[in-house]
Amino acid sequence: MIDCSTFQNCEIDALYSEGAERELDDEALAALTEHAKTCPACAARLERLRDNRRLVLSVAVEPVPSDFESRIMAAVDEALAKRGNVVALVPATADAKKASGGATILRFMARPSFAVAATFVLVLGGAALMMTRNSAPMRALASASDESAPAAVAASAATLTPVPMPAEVAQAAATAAAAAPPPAAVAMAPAFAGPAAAPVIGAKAGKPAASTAENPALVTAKNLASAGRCTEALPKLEALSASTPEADLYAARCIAKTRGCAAAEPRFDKAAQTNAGTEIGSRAQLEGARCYQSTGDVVAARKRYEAAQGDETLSAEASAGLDALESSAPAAKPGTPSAGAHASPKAMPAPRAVEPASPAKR
Amino acid sequence: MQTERAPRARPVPPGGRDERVETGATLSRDSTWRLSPSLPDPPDEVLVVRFQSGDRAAFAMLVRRHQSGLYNFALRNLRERTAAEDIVQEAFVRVAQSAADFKADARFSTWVYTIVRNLCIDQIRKNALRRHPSLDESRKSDEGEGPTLGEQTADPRGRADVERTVEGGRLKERIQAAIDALPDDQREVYLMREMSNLRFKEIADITGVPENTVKSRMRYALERLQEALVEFEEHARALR
Repeated sequence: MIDCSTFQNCEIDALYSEGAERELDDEALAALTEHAKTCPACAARLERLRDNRRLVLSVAVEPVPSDFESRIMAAVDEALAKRGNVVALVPATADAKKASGGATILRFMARPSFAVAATFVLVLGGAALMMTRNSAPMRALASASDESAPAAVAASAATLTPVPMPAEVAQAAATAAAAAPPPAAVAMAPAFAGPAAAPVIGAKAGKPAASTAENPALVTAKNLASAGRCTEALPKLEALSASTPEADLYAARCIAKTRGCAAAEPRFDKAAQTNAGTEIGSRAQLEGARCYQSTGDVVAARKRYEAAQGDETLSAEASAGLDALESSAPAAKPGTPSAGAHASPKAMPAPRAVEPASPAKR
Repeated sequence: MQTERAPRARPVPPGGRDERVETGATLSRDSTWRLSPSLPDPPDEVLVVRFQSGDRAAFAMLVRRHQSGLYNFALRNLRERTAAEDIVQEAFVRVAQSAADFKADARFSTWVYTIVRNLCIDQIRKNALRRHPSLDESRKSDEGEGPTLGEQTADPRGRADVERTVEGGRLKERIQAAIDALPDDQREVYLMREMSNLRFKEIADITGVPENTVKSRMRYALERLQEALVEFEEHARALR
């Protein structure tokens, strides 16, 4: 049997021990009920509380709107339909916290300020990339500014079509392309088509030759030659040839282009002799051999091809040229000019694409 | 298969809208509710598990079961019908969105009432920032009636007006005013236990205070209400 103090301590629980969500189990409730039967004061207290409860519940409960359930379900359906954009709101578990973290990132990325910042970074990055990729035409423009090399600019610009060019660069490239000599005029040596295609003597693959970088006069003369302005370039190259082996070779090329191979053969020979034992000398032998071959001097051509074979850098080219010469040699008598002996330079077999040169042997 | 006693059936809203059968059914360890005509409605937690599997009707049953208790809890806290409806709707949306994270060993009612309580607190704070209550303003702003704050302060019991109040059908307003006059911590405990039929232990989990504190608050709330409504004792006894 419990006393009044215990009853009072438990009367709130007893008040809510009817129906569902009971606070007391049957045994405890029975004990309180037993005490109330023997204690009118405690029984009256509990009964007043129950009366008050009934009074409040009789009027205090507001009915929900008639369509409340359907509205809630419609809102739930709509939210679930957008579930991909919805953030988990109950991070009760580690997984939920992880999901919430991901959602936080997504929310951050969805902010307008983030989009603005991302756009800014993209614009800066794109500008930097364009400046890097446009460095070749910019250099070409810089070269063209002093002596002008429109063909070089055109060629360089043509390689950059995937990247939009600045308007001034595009215009300069178009002008240069229009002013450049027709392809036939430079067919003798693609090296003249532009710096990018020119055989760089004495330079490693992908690295400009040291002499080219160190001698501005030679750069200017070569740019003139590459632009097809050999008449202007030749005096400069000849002036430099005494001290600059590459100028020797370029001078021979300019003579071949402007006056034909017959006039250039002695110049190639001179360059080969002056620069014997170097790659430039070997290249002069090779290109001179082609000239002799084109003019029908098989013996002279063979001699020079064989000399060029001694240079391991050019041996493959020289061997191929020699093979071609031998295959056609029976039809031509030594010392007998061929039908094309005096053909224009455009009829000459185009020199093969030049492989990146090895370091100068000098 | 080993089984455990099912959670007690969900609370019956005081309005008596829920017509469920009392429990006694079992819940298997794998949380599958064996539906049978002889079994009562499944517990909340089973309904959540079914909803996790895509059973929309299970969620609708949860809504039907709790909407009244949640609505009255929110309404008595916010005193605005529209705001209470919005908050209950938002709570169910959040529950649906996060149902995948619900663990079967948790109580659904604790979860959903915690959401509604937090939303109510946020709303009350927003309202407090928006405006300050006027002594001439009715506490029931959506109805434009009821005692003003000034009237309550001057004569909280209003004994002189008892007969007219009862006869005029204003008992409801007086009771609501008495509930509104409760301190916040007592009122929320009272509403959860009385209107929403949550156990003291669960209320303690929701409010974050010890269970004994919850019971103390409940006792104080009941005593205040009894004092405020002492004029209606006869009427209360007539309801026995």
